[in-house]
Amino acid sequence: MIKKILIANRGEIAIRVMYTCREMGIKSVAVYSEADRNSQHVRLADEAYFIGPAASAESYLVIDKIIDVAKKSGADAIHPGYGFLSENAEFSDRCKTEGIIFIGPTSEVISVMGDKISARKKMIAAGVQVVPGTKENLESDEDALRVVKEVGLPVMIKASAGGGGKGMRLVRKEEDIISGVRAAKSEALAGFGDDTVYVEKYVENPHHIEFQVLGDSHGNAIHLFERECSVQRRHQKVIEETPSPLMTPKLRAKMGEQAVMAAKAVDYVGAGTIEFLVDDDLNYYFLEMNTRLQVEHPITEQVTRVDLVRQQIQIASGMAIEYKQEDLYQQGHSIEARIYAEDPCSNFMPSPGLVKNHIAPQGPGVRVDGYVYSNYEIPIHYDPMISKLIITGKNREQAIARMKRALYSYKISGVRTNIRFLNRILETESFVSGNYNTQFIEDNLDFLIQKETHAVSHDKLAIAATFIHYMNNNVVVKSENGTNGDCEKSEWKAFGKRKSSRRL
Amino acid sequence: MKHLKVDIKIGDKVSEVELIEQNGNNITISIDGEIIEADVQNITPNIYSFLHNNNSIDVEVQDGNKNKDYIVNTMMEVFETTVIDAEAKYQMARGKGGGTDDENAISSPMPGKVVKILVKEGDKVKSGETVVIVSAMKMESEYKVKQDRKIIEVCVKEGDNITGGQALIIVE
Repeated sequence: MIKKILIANRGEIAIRVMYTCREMGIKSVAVYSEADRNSQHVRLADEAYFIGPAASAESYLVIDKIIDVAKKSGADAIHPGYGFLSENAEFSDRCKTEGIIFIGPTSEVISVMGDKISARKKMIAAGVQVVPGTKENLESDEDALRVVKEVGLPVMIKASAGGGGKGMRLVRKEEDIISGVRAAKSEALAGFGDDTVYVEKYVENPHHIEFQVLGDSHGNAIHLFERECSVQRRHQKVIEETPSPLMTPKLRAKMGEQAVMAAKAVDYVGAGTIEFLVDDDLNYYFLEMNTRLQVEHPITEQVTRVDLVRQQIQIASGMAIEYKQEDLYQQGHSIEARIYAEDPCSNFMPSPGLVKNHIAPQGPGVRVDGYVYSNYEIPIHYDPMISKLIITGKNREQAIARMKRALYSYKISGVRTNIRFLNRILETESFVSGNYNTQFIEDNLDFLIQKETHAVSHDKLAIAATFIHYMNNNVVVKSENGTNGDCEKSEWKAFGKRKSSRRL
Repeated sequence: MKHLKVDIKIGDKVSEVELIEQNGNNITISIDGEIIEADVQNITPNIYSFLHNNNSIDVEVQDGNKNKDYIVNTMMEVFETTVIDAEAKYQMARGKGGGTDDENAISSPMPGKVVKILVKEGDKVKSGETVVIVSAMKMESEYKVKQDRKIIEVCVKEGDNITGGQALIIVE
């Protein structure tokens, strides 16, 4: 069994992995850059090693440095978290060569699933339903015209090496086919050094629904149901929930079966995610596979009561999956909201900086996977995600009410956050009714970022608070009759002090 | 008992705010003539618990980017406010604009009497040091410098009656 794990990551996911390590009696090793000495993941780990400058390319992404720390610390395994080196085939390979367990799939699987054309071919061969289209590179303009006509407009031209919305072109009209292909090719070449593009039927206003899968080295594969991830902004997920309001038991069984087929097709070992596009008529198509733990994995943990990180670690040490498909069922409803340090009112501009006050919500059904604390300075070098608020209730209605309650009591000051924006999402009619797709944020943007129309009293309250704070800090009031030193202090401050010392 | 009076800007709107009465944690203020009475507890240096007509509201006030700019957080909302006190007005009058520049003049927002002057010309004072004490309506107020400063000029002497906003001490 694994005794010590190096976590090649930072922020909330590093901490998330450490929690399970501690529960399993496994020592955890953190790595940190110059910008992260004060980060929580360093403070919560058993050991921590410095790996260089703040820029990820010189620290968290340097394979040699990570391997070096693994050897120095005597870690027998590396957990890559998500992002950074988590889907890097070379890294997975290197761990293998060095005799360190990589908690993730083999380099072969990462390579096959990381390339869209090869993943598509694999899936078609395995009988998994993919978006209608081609699996061949478009070599010439004639090719392009012929293929697009076969598939039928509208189509999406996609870079094989692409991801995150880059190297994609939507083509709706026949006269735009050739220019669309050329644009996608040049973007793909510039972005990924590879101009291979292919054609897919464009699914109008799709839902983005993914299935969590687990595979082990004994040939077992199961799924842990779906996550609805349609609330996205520029391909970045904002809110996820499970079960999906769109799902029916029959569809869930069919898609789950397909997800397991997809995992089995590549002899998948570890935790992975099969992403599907689903249209309004409940036709579903394989989109891609993520060969890592997802940001939104906690909602699956909440409704299935399965610790996915524990499963990853056990599977990586050669054990079989702890669960059989028939043992699993979804209980209740879970929603995750991603708290970002960004200002929705200024075009979602990131807002790094000093967190003056951070009070996370508590109470029934609340789980907060985060890493910032009061007086922590959020570095400018990494992701703007501050935390994930994960809410679980007996049903969707209760989960939404709880999420609003938790957002209300989530206090973060010093940096701008999207907390009010998230709350607005939960107040949007189409979200409440569960009738939304990936167009949701775009369709409702005006409502989502609109300034509040305040009851006058809110303004007045802000003025009153400003006034009192100003008085406390700029004007020191004392009575002419007062003589002792205590009177030099503001009555407000003195009162506050009395109160707080009484509480102690 | 009318004393402290300042303008507070929120958005584009400027309101006249005045302290009417302060009794322990009970405070009565007037905002553009509207009287607001609340029980206000200072929970931490930046967090206040308001009980207004028994409605409980927590408000956080943090310093903004500039002196006398504040960021007020309450009920998932963020407000930006600016206090325009006598000093700020004085600076505006001197063309320094908005009271947002460095402070050069120490003044009292309210009329009163100079009780004590603790510095003389040429003195160097540390941030937080009291430079002058002004009395008005049985209340004494200490005025402090916010940063390390050099005293350029003392414009008044002890016992002088002053008007609100009058420059008392000029600092570098």
